[in-house]
Amino acid sequence: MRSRRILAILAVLAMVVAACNGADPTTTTSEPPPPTTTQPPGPTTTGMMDELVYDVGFDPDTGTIKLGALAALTGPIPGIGASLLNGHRVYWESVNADGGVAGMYPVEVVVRDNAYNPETNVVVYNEIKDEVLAFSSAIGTPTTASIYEDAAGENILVAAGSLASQWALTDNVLLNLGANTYFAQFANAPYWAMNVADPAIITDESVVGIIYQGDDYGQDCKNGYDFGQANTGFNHQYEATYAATDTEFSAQIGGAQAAGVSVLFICALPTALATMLGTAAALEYSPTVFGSSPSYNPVLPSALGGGDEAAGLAVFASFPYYGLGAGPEFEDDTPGMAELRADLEAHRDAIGVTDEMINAFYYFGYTQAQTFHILLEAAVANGDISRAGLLAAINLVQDVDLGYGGAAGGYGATPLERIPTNEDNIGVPVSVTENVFGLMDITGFFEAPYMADWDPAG
Amino acid sequence: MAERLLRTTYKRDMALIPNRVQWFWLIVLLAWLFYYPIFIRGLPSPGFWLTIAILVLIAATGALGLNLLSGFAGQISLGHVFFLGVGAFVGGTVNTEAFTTLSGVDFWGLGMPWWVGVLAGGAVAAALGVIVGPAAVRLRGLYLSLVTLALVFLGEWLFTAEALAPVTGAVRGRRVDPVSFDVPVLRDYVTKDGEALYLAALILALVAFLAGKNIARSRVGRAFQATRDRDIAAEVIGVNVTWAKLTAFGVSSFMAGAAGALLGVFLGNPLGSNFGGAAGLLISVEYIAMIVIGGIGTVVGAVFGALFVVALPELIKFASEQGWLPFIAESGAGTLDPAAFSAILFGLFIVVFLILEPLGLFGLWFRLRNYWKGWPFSY
Amino acid sequence: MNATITPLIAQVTDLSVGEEIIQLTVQGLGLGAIYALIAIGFVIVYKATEVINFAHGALMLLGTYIVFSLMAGVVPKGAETPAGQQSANFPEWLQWWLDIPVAPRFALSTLVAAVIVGLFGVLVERSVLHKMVGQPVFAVVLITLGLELAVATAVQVIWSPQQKVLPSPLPPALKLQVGNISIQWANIWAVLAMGVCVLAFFAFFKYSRFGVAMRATAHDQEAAMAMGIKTTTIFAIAWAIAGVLAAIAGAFYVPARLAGFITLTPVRFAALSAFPAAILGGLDSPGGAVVGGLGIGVAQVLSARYLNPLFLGLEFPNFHLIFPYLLMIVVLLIRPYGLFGTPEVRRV
Repeated sequence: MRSRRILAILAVLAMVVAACNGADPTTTTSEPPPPTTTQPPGPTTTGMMDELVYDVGFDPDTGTIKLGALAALTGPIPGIGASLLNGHRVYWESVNADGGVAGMYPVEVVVRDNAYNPETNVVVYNEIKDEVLAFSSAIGTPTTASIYEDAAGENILVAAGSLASQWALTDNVLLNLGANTYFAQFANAPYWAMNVADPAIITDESVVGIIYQGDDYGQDCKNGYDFGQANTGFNHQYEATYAATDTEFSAQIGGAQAAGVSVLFICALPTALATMLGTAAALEYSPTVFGSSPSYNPVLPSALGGGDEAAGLAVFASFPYYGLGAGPEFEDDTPGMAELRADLEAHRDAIGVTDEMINAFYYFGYTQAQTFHILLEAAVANGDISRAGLLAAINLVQDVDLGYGGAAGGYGATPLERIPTNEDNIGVPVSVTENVFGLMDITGFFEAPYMADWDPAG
Repeated sequence: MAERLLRTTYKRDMALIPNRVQWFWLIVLLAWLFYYPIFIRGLPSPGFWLTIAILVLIAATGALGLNLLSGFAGQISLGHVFFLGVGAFVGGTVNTEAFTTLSGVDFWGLGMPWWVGVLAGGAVAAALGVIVGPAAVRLRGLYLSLVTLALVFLGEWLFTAEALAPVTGAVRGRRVDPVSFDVPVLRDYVTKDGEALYLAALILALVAFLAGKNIARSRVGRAFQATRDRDIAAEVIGVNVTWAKLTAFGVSSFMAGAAGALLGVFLGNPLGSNFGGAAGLLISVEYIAMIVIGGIGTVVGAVFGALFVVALPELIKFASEQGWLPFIAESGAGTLDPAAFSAILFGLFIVVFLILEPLGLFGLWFRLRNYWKGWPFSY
Repeated sequence: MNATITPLIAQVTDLSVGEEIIQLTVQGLGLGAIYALIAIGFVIVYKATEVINFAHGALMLLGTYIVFSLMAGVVPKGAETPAGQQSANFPEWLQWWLDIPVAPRFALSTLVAAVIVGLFGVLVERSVLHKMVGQPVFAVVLITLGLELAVATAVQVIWSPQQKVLPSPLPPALKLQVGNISIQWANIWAVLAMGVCVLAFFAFFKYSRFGVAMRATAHDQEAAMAMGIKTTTIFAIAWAIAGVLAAIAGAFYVPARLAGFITLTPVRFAALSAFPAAILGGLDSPGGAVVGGLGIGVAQVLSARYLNPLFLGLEFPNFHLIFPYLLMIVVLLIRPYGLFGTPEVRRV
């Protein structure tokens, strides 16, 4: 199944390469290190390139491509970090089981733990940057911010484990083809709540507010919220921030309650969301809540119910809670999801994936590797897997359908074109026994008409 | 021999480098330090070795400053990281050109050479340090150290405030340009940004070491020590204790700010949360660990301490990543991986080391030296 | 795709300003009770040994994970330790334990954890700090710091850094309604646990032989030794009590503050946020720790509600994070040894 799909991708790429012939793919990069040319090892019967340009992170003797992954296995978000990394590993494991990129270049992933700490991230990044071609996964918005400039200077591509739309403004940080941005989640939601939902969730009487984490991640949500507000004109009355280390939210929740907020947007991490909702429930305050994708984790109802998932789900339903950026469901009957499930079954024991790791973050890590794989295929097809060659290959990735039911996405030269998709879908919490990712899609993928007016560079 | 052991004149006793043997070793050491970046080019992971060396040099500068304040003047401060942060943001603003990010956020910048940034970072940090001083005049001992803890949290709050965004970038952090040396002679010596930063950090650390040595052996240093040992007695014999405490805060903050300016360059995109909150407190505590492990109140000790605290955990981690130890899982396994192994080992190392030698590395060195000096009469 | 949309429920209760202040104060007391539990732990070690115990957070972490293991029935096996309570792996002969209803089991688990961490405290004192009597204070403080690093990382290795769900009878949504004011049961129990600990603590100090000896040691170590008190035993007892308090604080911290989620970092650093409480009250005053803890808790919640908007307008968000520290500085500048601390007699 995999090889068939990859051939389909390659067919698309071959056309793209043909179309781009003549343009110098390395014009965007300065002073590339002198590339070397080699005969690739192994069989060349696929009729691929005979010569491959490479510099760092490729071993011509074994044909191995070395990639780096900066994961958050300790620190404040080990749950998200482990899920993401394992999704990532399973995908590469399955690629290697098929022989590797282009069927002949196996991928080795060097993992380092950044503990979601920017300074640690710089150290571990420096430790392995000289031996890897690129970073196929780098978790966190603030952490990635600490390295991307240095990476840009050395032509290193970094695939961000973050949905912040600001990455579209860089030349070397790649957003995931399988996901949207925090901005898109918050900008789309008001449109759905006012115009599509029946009955409408946000009306002229609704008082709307937002609580967001006081950092880059929260800021992207807030910018999306402001954009949605400007275009739909809902009655914004309340905003509050909290620090990522906070554990007490009665002030923020109490403030929203005092301001009469009936629809509350929350941009947080799972522990904070659970504590906020618990506080709200304790205060007899039940606004309709919209939460960003990293806010929800399928073990959350269980935590909120003191170990009883049904009790926790009842708390969620009492608001009600809508999860933005829900993404596809694990049970979806789509070719993409079928492959994800098959790969999981085939490789979970070798990688050590536990049930608790299978969630939307696992999907994210998996599709991140998938995105990177497509890019590598494009670079190999282009005959250049040097660092500069990889950066140049980004623009060759266009109109790729990962097969999860969303629109096809790709990359271009401008910031706007670096955003794979502006579509979003919204889900409601359900038991993990019936829905492994924990959010049941109630909207399908949609995009507010005003999203076309948004330019991240503007 | 006699000349080496006995100092016959006051001038000789006060000399920075008392004899030829020390001169010899000093020159060897300096030569090695300047040769280091060329040497590591041939090693398997040059990036790693350069990173460690830069961090050690920056930490040594900061530790020399803290040592003057805590080791000599006896004012234990947990707020050292705040001054590093001030230096990082002020230095970054001075040595980076003004710029506007693609998303339209404006940053101030002066685009001056790196050493101007270092001096400016130091100067602003020193000014703030003197403002904190009055608390030191009123409080003593552990209470003072815990009040300076407030600086750690105050710092995070200030650095991440939207109001200061043109300097700090608020929660997003600010870009800091790399160090550059526009000297033709150095073209082959400094071939990339990391090597330039190494050279800058080395120069700064040498200057700080010299300054630390000189302050320690001068009137100021003696006033510091009198204040530390018996402040009332010191006041009685004519030491202006308030002045001594304020000076100590000023000088120590200056060194921290200067080190911070280079730390900002190292981070590339320093964030407020690097220098505050739990992460910041850990850094402050690491600096105290440096001066205590090195040997509190000794200038050389601060440098040894920096080497020990910064390099040892990384070296343990590096060694265990090579797969020499079968019980260590591969990096990223989330269990007994090299990072966890090095943290546990380092923690236990501190415990065992301080039980055996509460006076730190300097005490160890002192005992060894005296042992060999008197050998074979080892008592 | 399933197109059922739950209709909007907007039940915004109107609270008067007075009621809101009471409501927030109640929340603040819940937070403060945990600060107080931690602060007393700092105070008792400081009183006995004049050392700030940086390892307290690690003791709290250890206690929390032991409670988790007992509640979820999970024998830790490093990276193989499953995250959810569904994957209990207690051996056959311990199954009866998991059949105990959740509320008494939580109480028993907390007690067991308190005993284990208390014993661990004694072990640490005997094996490490015991050897440091008479050594420079900051060498000892650093030793506690080294211990923190080693113990916290060992906990991470033993239980794996994966986040876990702590089954508890105190989910955050469970509350008591008094008129318009609602009080979370987690907060009520935190305050009760704090109250019981403080009472037991004072009774111990006042009436038990060890307690009296401890007071004597804290007052004057040499004189106490001259009177035949074994000061090293006293130090061990101080560490035992600190361990017990740390475990209890951890058990109540997770359900009340982290919505039942256990991740290493917040628990490990929770002890740091109790520093202002201990200092505000006076580092050597247990009563001061209680007052300081409750006061800081209430001040933090109220400042977040009423002062944050002012500072947000000036583009200085999250003012409540530093408010406890500002309070601490102001108090110390007026009273350099805290509200109830003993001034040090300075000799020349």
